[in-house]
This record gives sequence, structure tokens and C-alpha cells, in this order.
Amino acid sequence: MSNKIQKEINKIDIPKELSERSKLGISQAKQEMHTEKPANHIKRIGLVGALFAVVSLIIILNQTSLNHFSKEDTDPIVMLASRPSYTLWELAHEAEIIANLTVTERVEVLEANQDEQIIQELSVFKASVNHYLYNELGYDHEIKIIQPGGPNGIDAENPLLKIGESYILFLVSREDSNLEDNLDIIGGPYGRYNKVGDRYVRQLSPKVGSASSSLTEAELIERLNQHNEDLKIDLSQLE
Amino acid sequence: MLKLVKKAQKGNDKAFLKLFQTYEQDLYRIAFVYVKNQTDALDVVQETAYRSFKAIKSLSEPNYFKTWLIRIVISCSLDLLRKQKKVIQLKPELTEDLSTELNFDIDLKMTLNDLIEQLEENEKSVVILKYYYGLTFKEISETLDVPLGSAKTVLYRAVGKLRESMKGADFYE
Repeated sequence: MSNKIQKEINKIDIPKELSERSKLGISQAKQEMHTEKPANHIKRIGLVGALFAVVSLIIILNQTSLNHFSKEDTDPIVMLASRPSYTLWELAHEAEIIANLTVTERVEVLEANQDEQIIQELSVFKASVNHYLYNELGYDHEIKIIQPGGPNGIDAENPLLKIGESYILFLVSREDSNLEDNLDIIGGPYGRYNKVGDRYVRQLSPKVGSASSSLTEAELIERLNQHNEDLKIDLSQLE
Repeated sequence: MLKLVKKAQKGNDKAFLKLFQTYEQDLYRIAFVYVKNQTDALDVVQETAYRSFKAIKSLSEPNYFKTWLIRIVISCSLDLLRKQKKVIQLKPELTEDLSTELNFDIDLKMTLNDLIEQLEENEKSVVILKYYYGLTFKEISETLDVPLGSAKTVLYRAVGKLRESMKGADFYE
């Protein structure tokens, strides 16, 4: 009986537009959910807590530094940050997206501030994905990445991404609604491999552990597959 | 899947879409059994996607995501039929307590058309949950929010109808 019912119901043809209609329903809901929320100021006060939770980056500027923000022709302040380290194993398990990409544009610079003593610049970059190593959420080939830092202040260990440069980045989608279309790099510099020649060099490596900080993409893929069998990254895509 | 549900509950539409698309074909087919045509079934799926994403935060147990979606698609289908005034007044439920030993077997000649045309909406729900998804009566009663005895009664009646339908088909052959 059960098989018969299943067989009969499965005879119902699936129309081509089904997926589009699902997307439409979700995007309608999303739009309404946004308009139901109180208006957000793009300087996005209150956002800073969420950002710091992701990268655990705490930068407190003194009054002198704040004055610096008002001057336009000065070099950026190089700030010190403290953050938990990320091993490759952790990246392989936490990433929703692992992408080989090229940064194409800095879209905007946001400022998040909780009070007058804490200000954080955030750069939003657009990137073109050369190929995905892993893409759990089905992102398109153009994505936006948000990175702490801007014209007035940069993180000593995590300099801003460069336009035209290629990287392999370990990314997660944002969990706050203000900037949910943007992706975060897991662990800041720990989740970033810079392309140097035909190798990828990790921006920052954990002090413990023997993982090499300079690898070819194929070597990196092999390690990721070893760390997390669920990733199943296909090496042949590099051919 | 739990990770995706939790992400969706925080408002991530891509995570929700990924989850929803795992079940969208099943949901479409269920809707079709109720509304009987492609246009309305697509409307129901779209409405299900809309309602479920708006309500995902209220899902307290992510493990029940699938049955939760089924409940919504049934509800959306019935709402559409109500709007179109196609819902037939249901007969009063049988009140006798049916044992779990009832014979729910049915002639294997049953067709999709019998399922769609012969059964009332609440009967379709129970038949789909029981035989398409393999839910227990307890799960069916929880999903449809009806007493367990009623779920059995309705299924018994549905199976009886389908059996009758078979006889009729044989008669005219």
C-alpha cells in the first residue's frame, strides 16, 4: 500500500518553474521581514557587537586616534587586535563556503560604533569567484565580503584585501540581518590564503601545529578533505 | 541539516532556501493532490515558502522541520481551496474507537486519480502522511493536530472509499 501510494504520487510531474516559485516565496518573506524591522542606520550602530563576536577583534581607540578619523590626508592607523587562532581543521569544519576568488572592487566603507570611544571601520569588497571548493549555501559567482578595516584604520595582522588579487578564503554568512548579504572571513587572517605565484600563503598561521602556511591549491584541497570527509572537494576541478 | 535550520532561524534566506529545496518536490506533489492542477499547486508551494520562512523562528525543534513543512503545505492547500470554495463540508467523524488491528490494505489497482478525486481533504492528509511519508498514527495526529482515534477513523474511511472505487472500476470494465 505504502509503495503504491508513493508510486502514484511520484507520477505527478514537477514543473520547471518550481524552484523559482520557492525562491519567490522566500524573497517575499525576506522583504517583509526587513520592512517590519526598525530602520537601521547604515553607520549601523550596534552592529559592532556582532562583528566582534565573529572575529573576536577588539580595537579600542583613544581620543587621539578618534581625532585621527576626522583627518583625511593621514596614513591609516595600524591597530593591534587580539583574536582566537583557527587551525585548518577548524576552518574545514566551520566554513560554509571555501572559494578561490579575485577581489574586484571595494563597494563601501561602513563605520560601526557603540559609543564615542569605540569606532570600527568595515570595508565591503566585491569578489568574482574563480571556482568554489565548497559552497554549502549555493552562492552565485559574485559575492561580497566584509572585512574590518578601512582608509583610517587597518589591522596589523589582517591588511585589507587588494583589488585584482586572488585568494582562497574560508567564509561564513553573517548572522545579523543588517549585513546578511555579506560574508565574513572565518578568523580574519586565519581564514585567508593569499595567492603568491602558484602557491597560496596563509595570512596568519596558528602558533601551534605543523601545518604548512604555503601550499599549492591541490595540496590545500587534499588537506581539507583529510580534515573533513564531508567536504568531498573534487581535485579534478583544477585540471 | 540542523546547522542550516539554525542559520535559517537567524534570518539567513540562503540557508532556508537550501533546506526548502530539499523538500520542494514532495511539497508540490502534496499540494497537487489537494488542488488538482499545476497553477494552483505552484501557488501553494510559493505560499508555503513564504509562510514557513516567516515562521521558522517559531520552530522549537529543528528535527521536526520536515513534518512542520508538510503541515504548512497542507494548511496552504486547504486555505486556497477555501478561497475557491472547493472544500466540501466534512462528514461528522465516526465516534467508535477503532482498534489498531484494522485492515488498511487496499487493492493495488488504486490510481492517482482515485486518490485525488475520491477522497475528501482530511482523508488525503491522513493517506499521504501514512502511506507517502510512513508516519505513525501518533505522528499523524501531532502533525494534523487531531486526536489519534480520529486519524485512524479517517484513514479507515479513506481506504474504504478507495476500495469501493476499485469495485466500481471493475464493474464498468
